[in-house]
Amino acid sequence: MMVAEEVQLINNLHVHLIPSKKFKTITAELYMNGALDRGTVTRRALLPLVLRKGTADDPDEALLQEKLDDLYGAVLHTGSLKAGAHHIITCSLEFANERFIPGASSIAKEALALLNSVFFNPDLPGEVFPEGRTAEEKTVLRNYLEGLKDNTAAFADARLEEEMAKTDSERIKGFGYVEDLDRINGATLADCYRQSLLEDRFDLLIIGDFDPVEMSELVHAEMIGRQGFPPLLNNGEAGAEVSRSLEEPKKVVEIWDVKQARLHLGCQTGITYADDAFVSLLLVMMLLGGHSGSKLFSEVREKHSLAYDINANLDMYSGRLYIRGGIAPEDHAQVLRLIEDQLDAIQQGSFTETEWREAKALLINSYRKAADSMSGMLGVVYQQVIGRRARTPETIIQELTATTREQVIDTAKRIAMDTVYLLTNGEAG
Amino acid sequence: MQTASYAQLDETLHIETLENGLRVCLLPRAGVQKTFGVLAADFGAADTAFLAGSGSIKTEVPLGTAHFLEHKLFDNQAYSVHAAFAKLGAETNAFTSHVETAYEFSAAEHPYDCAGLLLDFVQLPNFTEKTVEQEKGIIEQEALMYLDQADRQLYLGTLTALFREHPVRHEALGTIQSVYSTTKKHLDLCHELFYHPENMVLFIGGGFDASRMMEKVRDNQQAKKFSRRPSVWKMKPAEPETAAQEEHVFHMSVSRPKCMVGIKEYGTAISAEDLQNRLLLTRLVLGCLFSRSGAYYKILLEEELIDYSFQYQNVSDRDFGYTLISSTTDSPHDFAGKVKQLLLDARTVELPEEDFIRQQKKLIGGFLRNLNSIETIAQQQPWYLNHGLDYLRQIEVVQQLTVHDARRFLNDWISEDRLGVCMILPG
Repeated sequence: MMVAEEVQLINNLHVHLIPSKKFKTITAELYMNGALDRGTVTRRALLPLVLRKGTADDPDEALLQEKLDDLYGAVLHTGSLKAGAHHIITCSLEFANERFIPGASSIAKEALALLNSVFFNPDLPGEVFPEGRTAEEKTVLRNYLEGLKDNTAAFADARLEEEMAKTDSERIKGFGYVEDLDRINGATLADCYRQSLLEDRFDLLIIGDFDPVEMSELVHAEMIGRQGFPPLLNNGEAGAEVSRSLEEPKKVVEIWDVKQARLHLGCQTGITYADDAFVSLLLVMMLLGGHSGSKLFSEVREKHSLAYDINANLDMYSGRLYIRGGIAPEDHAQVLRLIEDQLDAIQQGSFTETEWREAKALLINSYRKAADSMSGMLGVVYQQVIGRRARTPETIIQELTATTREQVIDTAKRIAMDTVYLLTNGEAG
Repeated sequence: MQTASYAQLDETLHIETLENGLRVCLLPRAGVQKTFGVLAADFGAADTAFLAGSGSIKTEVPLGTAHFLEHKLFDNQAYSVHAAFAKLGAETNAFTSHVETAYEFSAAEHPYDCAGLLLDFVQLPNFTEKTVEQEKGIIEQEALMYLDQADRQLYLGTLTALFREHPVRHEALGTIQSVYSTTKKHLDLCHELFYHPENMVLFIGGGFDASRMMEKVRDNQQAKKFSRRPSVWKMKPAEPETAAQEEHVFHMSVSRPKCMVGIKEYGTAISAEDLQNRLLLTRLVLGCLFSRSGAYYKILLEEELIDYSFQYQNVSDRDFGYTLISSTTDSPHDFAGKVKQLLLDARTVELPEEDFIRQQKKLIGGFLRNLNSIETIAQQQPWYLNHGLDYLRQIEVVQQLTVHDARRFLNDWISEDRLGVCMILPG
């Protein structure tokens, strides 16, 4: 019933085929996983933007877009993200499954060829990315980076992360830096691309209602076996290391012209996806603020009417637990106290049998349901690659079922408040 | 129980209207673990005035009443709704749009119990005057959160520029003032009038057995007593055809200006057939002009008037319709001027057939993509049924449209006095 995944390593491309009858479309997603590095991060953040704009076959963005539209509106996304000490560039293509459209054929074949061109056969006249396009996308990235502060919740998240950083690698922002952009041109960006081909680990995940043998043949014909497919050298993993140092909580207050204050807290747990205790950490997160029956939701929102949104979430690769709320500026001290009390309650084992059963059931069911959506399934499969531990939804469900209250209390005790970040207006002390 | 078969999509829908008037649609899907249910009332934020009861008395409720009621149905004095679903390993949520209020559950097991629970907490409210008062602080926080969101304010500013009287011009949750003027009586009245089974659709999709589910729903409804639904007519204020305001400019702390051009499509009731055509033709025509392969998009990009944030959307409903075209831009006045000029030019454009076919394919692929998600089908189909349409037949309807339909629509689409602009400038 769960993820039936078929993995093949071909020319150092890890191909994961995930056939499923539940979907009317097919998604193919490429992952290019490299080390997070201050020297390359801005170029790596820019690269997917430039790749999205043209290929050697379709050097013009409009031509590329017409091709996508003609493929029944195939949707191409490129992007990058920071996951622990990794920087991952992604490229996904979702396209209609031809068996559900009368008169349609060869959509999958053309779609894979297109995906291959975007990632492995980019528009590189004279071995450099076109300067005009590079400059345009630099502006896009610059505007994006400068516009981040328009969303106060996202801004507060980014500031909290920065304040919590203990090592240089943690301090690196996954989206890159405005000040690096001036030094980037078509040639330096092409160097970065070629270096990534040599050093990064590549995974290709395909999910949908298809026959794995036929799809595997298409992957050969349209991608790996194609003339010009680059030699990939890395067949293993990119390195990752996690800071576990714990210090006294730090408090940061910033004043802005906002109507609603954001109180965002960061905790260090020292536990990541690769650790045995990861599953009990998930349970702590759930009990604390993972759903609308959680301690934070019922205490801060329902009982005291102090927030509209209040929740906890986990960065599974860095081992950080975040608690985030939107509150009235004058209530920040009271809300902080309530949050500390809820965490303390879990550390003391003060949660009811009902709370415990709910948290477990919701997590177990969320892993069951992950198998019903494309993005959920792709996420679960790729988590194992970055997290450096084989954990299928089934094994996580088994682990969750076996976890005891004592294990969760022990794990909760390892959580230490690191930084309290408050973004507020000047009106309240 | 009847069935409707959608052979090309490999789907079968089970339909029944119960004795009390509740319309039930079930879409079982083999191999799927989860079940997703939606109970939707044909009642939303724009329904604030109506003629009700035998005397047909005009009644008005404060803005945001539908949304307030949505919050209070979760606040049951006898049990915690969230906890009751959590006990079944399920989650619940709700949303209020301008035209409907929908309550949802998402379950990985116990689908039958979850369906019963959904019907119970929505149909049997149990809140007090005191808890209505307590809710006001929470809704105020929600309202304040939106006030800081520039894109949302841009959208609302444009609707205000387009519509003079129609309640669609207001935030679905109302204003902080209207929230504080809401009483339990308003909520009780709206529940009585608009949460009657005759005014609701239940849609459940996912991993369950259709006969067993239908039986469960029937039993649940037979155990409840509903009085006859009082006669009720929703009232809409007279809305002029033209935009209320040509331009609406305000300042916020944004890093770069944002601009939105709005087209007021209509502000009074249209037929189901007209609605179906407008839903698809507006999207097809917008795609031909403003999508990434569209002619107008290329012009705006070349003139450096737009960036990656450029987007457009159309909303077509029973008695209001609008189209919004927006971008973050360093030259908001030039952006507005150019978009307006291009739209006016569209009256004389001969749409190339190639462009039309491309957008038609794209629309078909888009529907197929949405059909991956049981959530999307369950959220869409009640709206389509309440408007006399069928979400699962949209691909067939798109395939029947021709370039001539699109050309006729396009050349008749725009008039200058139905355009309105909103700008947010930094500072």
